[in-house]
Amino acid sequence: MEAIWLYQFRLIVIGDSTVGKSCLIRRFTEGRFAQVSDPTVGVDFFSRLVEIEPGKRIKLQIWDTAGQERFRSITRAYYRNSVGGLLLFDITNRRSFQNVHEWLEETKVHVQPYQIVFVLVGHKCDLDTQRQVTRHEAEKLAAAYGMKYIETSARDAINVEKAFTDLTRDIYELVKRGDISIQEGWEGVKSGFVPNVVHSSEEVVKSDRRCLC
Amino acid sequence: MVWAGDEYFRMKLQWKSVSEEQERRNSLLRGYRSLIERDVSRTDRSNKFYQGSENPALVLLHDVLMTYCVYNFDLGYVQGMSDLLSPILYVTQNEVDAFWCFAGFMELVHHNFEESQESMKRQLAQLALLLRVLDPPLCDFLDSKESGSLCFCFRWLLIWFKREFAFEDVLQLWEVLWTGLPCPSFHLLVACGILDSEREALMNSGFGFSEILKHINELTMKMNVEETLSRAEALYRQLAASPELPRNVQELLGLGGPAGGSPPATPPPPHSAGPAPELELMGSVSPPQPDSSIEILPPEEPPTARSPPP
Repeated sequence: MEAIWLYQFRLIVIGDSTVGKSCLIRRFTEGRFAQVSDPTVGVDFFSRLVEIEPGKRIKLQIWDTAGQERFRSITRAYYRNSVGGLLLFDITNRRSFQNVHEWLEETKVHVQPYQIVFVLVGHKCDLDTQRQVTRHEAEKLAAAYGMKYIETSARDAINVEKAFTDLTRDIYELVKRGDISIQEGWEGVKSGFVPNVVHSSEEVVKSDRRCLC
Repeated sequence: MVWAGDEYFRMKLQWKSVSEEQERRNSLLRGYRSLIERDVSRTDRSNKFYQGSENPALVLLHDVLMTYCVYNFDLGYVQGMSDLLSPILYVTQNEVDAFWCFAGFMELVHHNFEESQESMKRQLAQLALLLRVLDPPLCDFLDSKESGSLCFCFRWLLIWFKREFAFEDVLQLWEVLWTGLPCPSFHLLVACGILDSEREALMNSGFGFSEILKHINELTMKMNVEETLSRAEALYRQLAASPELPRNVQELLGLGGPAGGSPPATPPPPHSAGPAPELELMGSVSPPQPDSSIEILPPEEPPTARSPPP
């Protein structure tokens, strides 16, 4: 029987090929690190519960996407139903950092006029000696786009929990404040079954988020 | 076959002789090279043939993929190709043979890797067409879960089930598919066979869109290839014996219509769709006919996403 959760958030993980998207998700959902993982083609799906406050659980549905540009026409179909996202680059690969802007543009175009709450993730921080992107410049870029920045390592399990949990908390706050509302026909946020706790934003708003379609 | 080797090494020399200086000004080649390097290091590494960091087979995998880039530079390297080459190299154990076999295989599937993904969309539509004929209740169920586009079968079709079966089983499966027997597009019937064997699990599950994709992805390495092939062949026989098969299904499977004079069952998938009545689902078989009714992606997708940017 499935544990009770307050909300379900759908997250998407994007970024260049080989920045470590699948490994980060596997570490988070399965608690293990695979030395070798097949290149993702298409889209994979994972889920996990996180407890943001004692007794308050959020179910995360996490979409893992292929990084190569060639698969964009398939992967971008998943952007629209995501409320949050982790945008990864590899701190040892400058190019993947330079492409962050492009990834943001790419998603923006496909979810307009709505937004995905992104966190910028500098991955593979265990490889500090090979670092090509300083923490300072990454923080600056993140700030310029209104994102938080965090450095993670799937191999050494550094900040993996924190990256997902912090993002989940931020989204939770936005939902609680009503800045993000549950909409019929949109899968980004769904309400669970929790008696005695009713937030105003839990009522289904029909003002259509799908207006673009 | 001296010439095949000559031709191969001539092309290999082309990328081998690109200096660092030159490559700095060739971002496309640089991108392909770096992606190939990284994918080679994570393709079938648990297979004995590719184990260990100093394994010479890794160099061959890399070199053949790089040479294929030069051979077909418009296509270049796309993720998934290393999956297609790996079993071929394992069987041939020879660089030149592996290259030409791979190039031959790519003749069949290179459309899968094109930027527009039109071929993938078309095949998913064709799969939906077959499934609609074979199992309407399952189709209705998937439709009701916004999964009627069958996008969860993307990986199956892209790399011909390479990730779904054990390595040895993939060899067997591909050999069958390469024969073009019992019909063209048999890989779609293999997909139907797998869906058929999972129909109860799917329909009795209460799964939504995400869970269906997860369930399908998790079938990997759990399926029996013999059983899957038998099932697919049984579906073919069932369709071939069916008296009222929609015209577009007949064409897809190379079945001559019973009502006289239809084209014989020649291997490559037909390139023209006849004007005969078709099932309303319309997996159009003809190339890039824009068809707004082909729903291959999650239906939530906005229309803008369906056509790639210019």
